[in-house]
Amino acid sequence: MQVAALVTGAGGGIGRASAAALAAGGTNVLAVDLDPDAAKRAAEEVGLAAAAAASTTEGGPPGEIVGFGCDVADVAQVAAAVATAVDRFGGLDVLVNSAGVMHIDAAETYPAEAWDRVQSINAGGIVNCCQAAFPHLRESAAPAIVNVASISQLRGQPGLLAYAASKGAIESMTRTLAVEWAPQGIRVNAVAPGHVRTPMVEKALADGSLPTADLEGWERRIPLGNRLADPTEIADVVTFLAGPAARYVTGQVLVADGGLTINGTYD
Amino acid sequence: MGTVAYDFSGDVVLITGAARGLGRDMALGFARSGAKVAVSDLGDRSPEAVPYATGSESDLAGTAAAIEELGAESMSIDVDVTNEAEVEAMIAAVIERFGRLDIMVSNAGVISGGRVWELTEAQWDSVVDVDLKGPFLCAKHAARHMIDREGSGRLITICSTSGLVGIPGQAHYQSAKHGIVGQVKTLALELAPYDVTVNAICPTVVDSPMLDHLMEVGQAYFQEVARLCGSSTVFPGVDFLEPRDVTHAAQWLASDAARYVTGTAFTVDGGFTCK
Repeated sequence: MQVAALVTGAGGGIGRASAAALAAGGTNVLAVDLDPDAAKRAAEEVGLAAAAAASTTEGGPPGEIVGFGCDVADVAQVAAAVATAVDRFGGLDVLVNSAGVMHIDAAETYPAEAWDRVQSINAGGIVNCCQAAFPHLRESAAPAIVNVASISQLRGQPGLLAYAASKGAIESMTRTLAVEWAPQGIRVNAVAPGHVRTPMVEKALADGSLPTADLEGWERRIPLGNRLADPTEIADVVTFLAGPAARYVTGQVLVADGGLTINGTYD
Repeated sequence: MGTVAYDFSGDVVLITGAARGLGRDMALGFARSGAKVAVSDLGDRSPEAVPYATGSESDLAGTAAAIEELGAESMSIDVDVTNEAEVEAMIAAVIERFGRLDIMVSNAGVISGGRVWELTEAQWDSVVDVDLKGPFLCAKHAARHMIDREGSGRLITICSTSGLVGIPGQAHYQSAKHGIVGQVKTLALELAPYDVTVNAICPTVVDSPMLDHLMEVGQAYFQEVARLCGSSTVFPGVDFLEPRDVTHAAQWLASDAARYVTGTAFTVDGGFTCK
């Protein structure tokens, strides 16, 4: 029985969709985001939607969802987030590490501070959250960690030096933690999404930093439906990996990219 | 969060190798979720150079009866998946009976053992024909139906961690299973325009009649494999999966929740290949 989850990066995109899917399945969720307002807004909107959905289906009641501001790169803030989830829900069964940032720059002049920031949030944030969650996950009857990796660690792409490296770290950590924490029964998996229609993409389209022609190029290259994933489609992978039906799935990095990387490239 | 309840009502599923064991468990799982389930197996024929008895015609009838006890419609078909005419007739029979085929699960498989310098041509042929050519033929004829009709489709092949790693004594089996990983990637690309996803499931050893027979005929061989590979999962005290662990993965891949997942070798192995 899983009663409580902590989801980072839950202010939008994959994190928010994952928080919503977990809550819809009856799990209580602490929805964590760097932006406390985004976290609270997501919690409120997701909570209302879950309540509305529950009133029209035969499923059980939705879980409670609570927003919480937290910088995952800050150990003290992460400790506070985990303590809040445990106090509020009486334990912690699921950790979804979705918080991540991207910085695009030329490799030969990639700024050291951008490198450090990307690593400290994308990879370091997972270390912080996993370490803080471990004592509680260990006590759970069905503990699971799901990390949000990427296809960036599988294939080279210009400009993504730090991002791809951080996602590679996530993939390695997923296997290491899966083996190291198996004696405590903690399963650790990752999803590797391809291109996803997140608010980050919508914003880049709106402000012109992502030209429409580039987006159309991405779409043409995606075999399944020539379209980007909706965040809910990645959340559906997260909830399967987190749930009891996947009780012997561990150390896996499941690619959910509509077939984009099957042929060996992004192209 | 409880166990996910899938809803396959209105869907037609065909599962090969369904007389018993994992195939039967998947058939019952899909039946419980509302699907119409066609099941097939080799009947009372014996595959060449396979050191144990495969599921019988009466076993397959038992699966069909168990499906109907759950209140689901079923049909059973004797088929040799290595024979294209029989596979084509099997798909046609399913469509004639149920009007459609939505989910094709290629589960039929055989195994034997021998070092490369001992392995006979008959052992090679039987394993590669059933385990690699069989899924190709099933996919070919299922795909011909799926691309001609509205709606999404699913092809799922039960592969193995033998599709990912080397194991002594298994040159034929590893070749076939590694072949499946490449097969699903290619079929995924070919069928994506038709909204058909194609995935493999790679389980570690599943507690099944196949395993029982192998333990009888090859205890020493398995002990050596265990010595070379280490424990078969990372979870203390867990050596084998149960069929339902693979059934859950198959149901998830077949469901709408996995609609953006294609071309993968989804590994359900208790961490065997990540250590």
